[in-house]
Amino acid sequence: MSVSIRPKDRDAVLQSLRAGVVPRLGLHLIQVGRAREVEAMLADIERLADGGSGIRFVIGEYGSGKTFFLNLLRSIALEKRLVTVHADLTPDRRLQASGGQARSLYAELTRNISTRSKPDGGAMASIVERFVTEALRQAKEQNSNPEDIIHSRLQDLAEMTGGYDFAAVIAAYWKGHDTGNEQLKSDAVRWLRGEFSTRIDARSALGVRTIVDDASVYDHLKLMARFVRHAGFRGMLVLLDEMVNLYKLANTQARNGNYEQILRILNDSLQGVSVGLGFLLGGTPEFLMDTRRGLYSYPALQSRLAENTFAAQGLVDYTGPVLRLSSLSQEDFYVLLTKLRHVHAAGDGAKYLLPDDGLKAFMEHCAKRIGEAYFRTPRTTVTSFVNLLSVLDQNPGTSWQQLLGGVEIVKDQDPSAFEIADAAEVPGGDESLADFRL
Amino acid sequence: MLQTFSSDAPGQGRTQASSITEILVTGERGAFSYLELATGRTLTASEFVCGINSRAARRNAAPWVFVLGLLASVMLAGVPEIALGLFAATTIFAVFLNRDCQRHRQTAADYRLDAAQQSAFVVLQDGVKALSRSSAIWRVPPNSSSFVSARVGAHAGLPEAPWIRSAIAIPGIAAGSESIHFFPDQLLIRTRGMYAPISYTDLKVHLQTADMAETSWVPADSTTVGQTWRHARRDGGPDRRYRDNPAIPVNRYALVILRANQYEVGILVSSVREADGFVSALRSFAGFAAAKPFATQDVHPAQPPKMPLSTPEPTVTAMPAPVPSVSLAERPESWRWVAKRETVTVAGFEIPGLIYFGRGLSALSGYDAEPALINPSLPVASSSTGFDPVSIPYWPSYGGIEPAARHAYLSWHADGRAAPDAPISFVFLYFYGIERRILYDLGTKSSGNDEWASVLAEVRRLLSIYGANSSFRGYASRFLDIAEAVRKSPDINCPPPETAAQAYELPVRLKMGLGQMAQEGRPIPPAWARLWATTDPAFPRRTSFLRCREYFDELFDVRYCERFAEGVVVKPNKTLLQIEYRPASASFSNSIVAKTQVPDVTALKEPAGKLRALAEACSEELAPFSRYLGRNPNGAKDLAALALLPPILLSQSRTEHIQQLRDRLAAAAGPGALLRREELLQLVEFPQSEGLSKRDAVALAQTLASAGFGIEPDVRFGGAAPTAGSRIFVFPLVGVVSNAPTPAYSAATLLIHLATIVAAADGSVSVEEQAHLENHVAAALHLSDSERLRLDAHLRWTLAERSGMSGIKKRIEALTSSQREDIGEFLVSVANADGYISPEEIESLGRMYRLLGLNPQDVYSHAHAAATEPVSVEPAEQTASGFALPRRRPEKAQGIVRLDEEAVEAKLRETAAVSALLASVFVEETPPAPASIAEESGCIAGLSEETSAFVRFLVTKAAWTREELEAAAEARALLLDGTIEAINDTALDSCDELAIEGDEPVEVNIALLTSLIERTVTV
Repeated sequence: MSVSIRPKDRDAVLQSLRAGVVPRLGLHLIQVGRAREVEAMLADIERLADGGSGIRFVIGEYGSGKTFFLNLLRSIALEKRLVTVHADLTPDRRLQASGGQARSLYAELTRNISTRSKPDGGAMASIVERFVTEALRQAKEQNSNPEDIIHSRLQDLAEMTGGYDFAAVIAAYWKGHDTGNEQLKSDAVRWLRGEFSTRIDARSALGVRTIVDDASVYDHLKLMARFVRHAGFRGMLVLLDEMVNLYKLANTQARNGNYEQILRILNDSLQGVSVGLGFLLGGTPEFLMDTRRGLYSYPALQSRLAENTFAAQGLVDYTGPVLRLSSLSQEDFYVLLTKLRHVHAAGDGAKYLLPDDGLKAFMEHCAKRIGEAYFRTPRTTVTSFVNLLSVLDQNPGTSWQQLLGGVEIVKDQDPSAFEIADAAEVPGGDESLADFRL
Repeated sequence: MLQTFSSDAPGQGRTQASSITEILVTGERGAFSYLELATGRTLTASEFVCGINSRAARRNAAPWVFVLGLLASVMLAGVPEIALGLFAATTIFAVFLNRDCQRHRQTAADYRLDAAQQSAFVVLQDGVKALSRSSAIWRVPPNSSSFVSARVGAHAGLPEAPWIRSAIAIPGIAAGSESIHFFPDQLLIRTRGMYAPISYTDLKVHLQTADMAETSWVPADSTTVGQTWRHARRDGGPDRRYRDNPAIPVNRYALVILRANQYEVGILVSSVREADGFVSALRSFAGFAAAKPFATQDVHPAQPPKMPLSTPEPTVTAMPAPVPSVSLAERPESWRWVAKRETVTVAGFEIPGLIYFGRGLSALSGYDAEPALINPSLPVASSSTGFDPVSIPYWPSYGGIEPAARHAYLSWHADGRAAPDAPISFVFLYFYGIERRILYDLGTKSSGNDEWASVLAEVRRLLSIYGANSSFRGYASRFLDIAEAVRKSPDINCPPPETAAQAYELPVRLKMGLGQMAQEGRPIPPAWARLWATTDPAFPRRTSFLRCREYFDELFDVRYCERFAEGVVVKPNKTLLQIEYRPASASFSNSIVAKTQVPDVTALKEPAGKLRALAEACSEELAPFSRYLGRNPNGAKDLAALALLPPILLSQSRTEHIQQLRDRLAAAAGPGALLRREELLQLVEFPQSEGLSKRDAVALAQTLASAGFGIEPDVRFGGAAPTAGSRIFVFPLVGVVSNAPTPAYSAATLLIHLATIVAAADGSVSVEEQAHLENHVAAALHLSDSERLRLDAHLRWTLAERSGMSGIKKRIEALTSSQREDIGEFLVSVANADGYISPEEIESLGRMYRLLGLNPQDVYSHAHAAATEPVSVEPAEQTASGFALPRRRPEKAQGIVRLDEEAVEAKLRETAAVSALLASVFVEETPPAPASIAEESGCIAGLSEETSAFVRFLVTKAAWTREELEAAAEARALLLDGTIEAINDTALDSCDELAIEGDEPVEVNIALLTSLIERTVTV
């Protein structure tokens, strides 16, 4: 525990928390409990790094720390030299759609593609160049044409859906580099990021016949996973948060389409078809369990997600596809506060700004204001606490007792309490006709 | 005897009666002649009465004379001497006139009666005297419907007959302005100052009884035969609508109606007995007066018996036959008590003992022959032909009955005194003798115990044969009571004496027994207490008491033991028990009173009141059952009827039928068993029918509950009436059993019901789920024991029957919102009891939440929470908070934070573990690569030659523009981004820090890169 805390991590953590968002760095510094879960996920990530596959549904209440947990896993994955892509599902970003929403999700994912050296996303070019550099080096050694090397190295991709065009795009990047055609390079990256919306554009720009469209999102994720392995990374982890947005789709057909996609991912992952590709899906309990609109409403998923019936009464199975996060307890919250204090003091016990009693006083203060919510959905309370620490830090000599009374605590509201009314979602004309009435 | 009644000396009238009309009335052989002494005229009976009336109406001039004198003296007031003289003279004259007139108004009747008339008249006098002994006499209009309102108080005796003087006392009855005078020759009725004669030949006397509700006072010698109420219902019970509704005794009075021509008068007599004496005397006198031709042949004992009928000379085995005499009453004759083993022969009948036999035994009251005495000299007819039992008077005497009756009587004796159809008068006549023997001859003497016992045994024998006659039963049993009380004390260890169903006085033996117990300080056993309470005249003998006597007795005993445990101990009081007996025999003139040394505890108000209240409560408890029997006379064994019995009876009654029911149930149910409805109904002999109405179901439940068994579903506890083919859980009840569910119980059953549905949603109720439910039932401390028992039964039934959702909505409506929430959470915990909530269970839970009015979305949160938080069955002590439903989380007071130190410790440990885990990921312990390691000459570890050259170029400047770098990369045939990535990767690997950061400008960590370059090994 006496590990010194990097100033960068410290600042990242504190800044993010003050802003009310989950930090992207230094999460391990403030992780409280959940050892078994982390352990299980670590094993998953190791498996991914070894070319395996996997899928996990991280289920937790609003405020139980799903996003935090996903981010923690993301940083673990990066540390393990995996490439991560992550995105929150929104009404405009889905796994399956006909109006470009799936492509939009893909674009969001690839925009957020991160590596260890570029943890904040936008690592697409780096990854491609790393691959190309390696290809060039190889070509130089073998004295052959780099394009041939690129194609031969991407031979196994070509066998997959859209694999040939993928290889062609990578080759186009090299060509752009070789000929100094920056346009071609950026077009290639744009293609990879799913930013071409029509085939014609793609053809004229890159000479390929396909683009990443709504139907091929998952295929391209699989291609990307293989590609990053060729580029020297160990695998790719896809993190999808706010899955509850699928649950909120009012249109049954649209919802089932998405669930079908999840089923496909689930099957591939559990069968080991996809190589080095892992999925982490974050959602609320109703997303999983609602038998009318949740995953349980899709019978095939229901049977696959059924929990291990042997794991009863105290026996816990952390290897199933569903990983449940419990809500925070008061004790968790208390430990979290000690951690925050520790981080704020940069790991130096002598610089603690609050005694243990101060932590309890703070908790009591919060409990008086908003009751149980202060530790069940700790976002706002954590923000207040960090603010309090900052004030204490900047005004030496101030007594924390005085400040405590003035701390405002606002109850955190679940913003997802609305439903996605989706009329535009209707794919094709069948549905329109069905709606048409005389 | 006559003299005692005379008020005046006979000569007194004559000396003063110078101007009094004297009439000599001579009676001879039944006829009367009237002779006016002054004129020597012989008058008829009517002239005699007319004369009396006209004389009585004679004008009196004295007041006028006095007034005239007064006026004249006032007018002569000027001359006071004359005026005064005149006034004095007229006043003296007026006084003289008045005395003369008074005298002329009088009639002196001088009766000269012959011996027969005289003795007959004595009988009449005695009759009236008997009447005067009665506590109350009234004159009533005989045909009135309500005697009470129209009656006028009367007085029997020797009322003054105005204007008539007689040397002999004339008995009569005076009531208000009217009076009746029984003259020897005729009856004179005086109304409005006039006498009206009525001949004894015309007189008809009727005696009947009249039962009257006595609102004023109860004469001491009247018999109370019942009671009514000021406001009575049609069935005789009290009308409960009135609060002030006291009981009114119903007395039996005698109504004597005297009727002659148009005249009719009723005399209401409080004592039936005295009235009877009066009527028989009057009848006998009237008969005597009327039967002038046969006057000498009258059977009255006062007459010398001429025997027109052939009578065999009576023979007496023990003593010579005495000579018949004219008046047995006046001459002591030989008589004796015939002992039990002896016999006497009278008129050819051999008569067993226990009788008085002989002549000359007079009645104890003195002026008549002993009624029971069998006088062998009296005529006995040769056969009973012509004997009419009705002819025997109410107070029979052997001397007073007809010869034919005597024949029948003697033959009854000879036949063993056992003929059940014998006239009850014979039994009484025989019983009179026994009464006299025991109460008078033997009395309180200590000797003669054997005879005593044998005589009493005889009375008991008679009682067994003739007990059906209530009059005889009453006399005989009272006689036995007093006879036994005098000689020996009752055995108080024995059950109390049997009593007649209707008793209006506490049985003597009961009083004796109670008194003895009080003396010995012993508690009163239940049976004695019951008898005391129920024979108490103040105890209202309700229909429920009379109809369900058996159950009443059991119930009373149970309640008595409950209330008084050992029994009531009465402190002996000072009043000693006196036993009064009014003998049946007319021979006794008064009641017999036996004084005992035993306290009369029944005189105490307090214990009697306590017991009576208890008895009333018991009969009240039985009232519903009794009313059911009233509606269904054959329904005593119906389940519906049994349901109405007090539960204690069903569980304790020794009644065969109930005991069998209990045994059958216990065999079938054991510690609790599921029975098919049909089986159960057969078990309790309930009529099988397709549908069991709610009412029947309630009755079923109530009865079984009373018998100590509960059923589930129970309509009273919110269950549905069992349908045909359904199963019912029967279980023995323990402890105090309630009849209606508490709100807590209702909620709990609902909970169980819902929970079972949830648990069964995935097709089966797993062992864990069942265990969880059972734990809940066992831990439900907020329920009473009996409720928990029932809840357990309910659970078993629900698990077995899996009833659906019908009727649930209604039950849910009764719950508060917090209860609903708690139910919801409990349901989730049940579903999760097996560690796994199946989608079916989720669906079911969702339905329940909707039903409960909870947000169905919360199901998922709760299910999630249940799945993540370890299931902890709370220790039972914590649930004893009195809350009806399980609470997963203890209530937290707002604003008070109590940290569980243990949990904090555990969290800290876990956090340390996870930190270590993460540290292994993030802070790689790779030591800086030793400088000696180099893969290629001139190459930086892990980087290609070109890249290494690029790095060396990079360290020359801290910040580059992207263009500069791109140019530099191009010059070395490198792709910029890929190269930076590779360099950073290497930097992270070796120094855990990025070497190149930012896009525009690109910042280079020169120190880092330099350290990288230093590790380069040139080969």
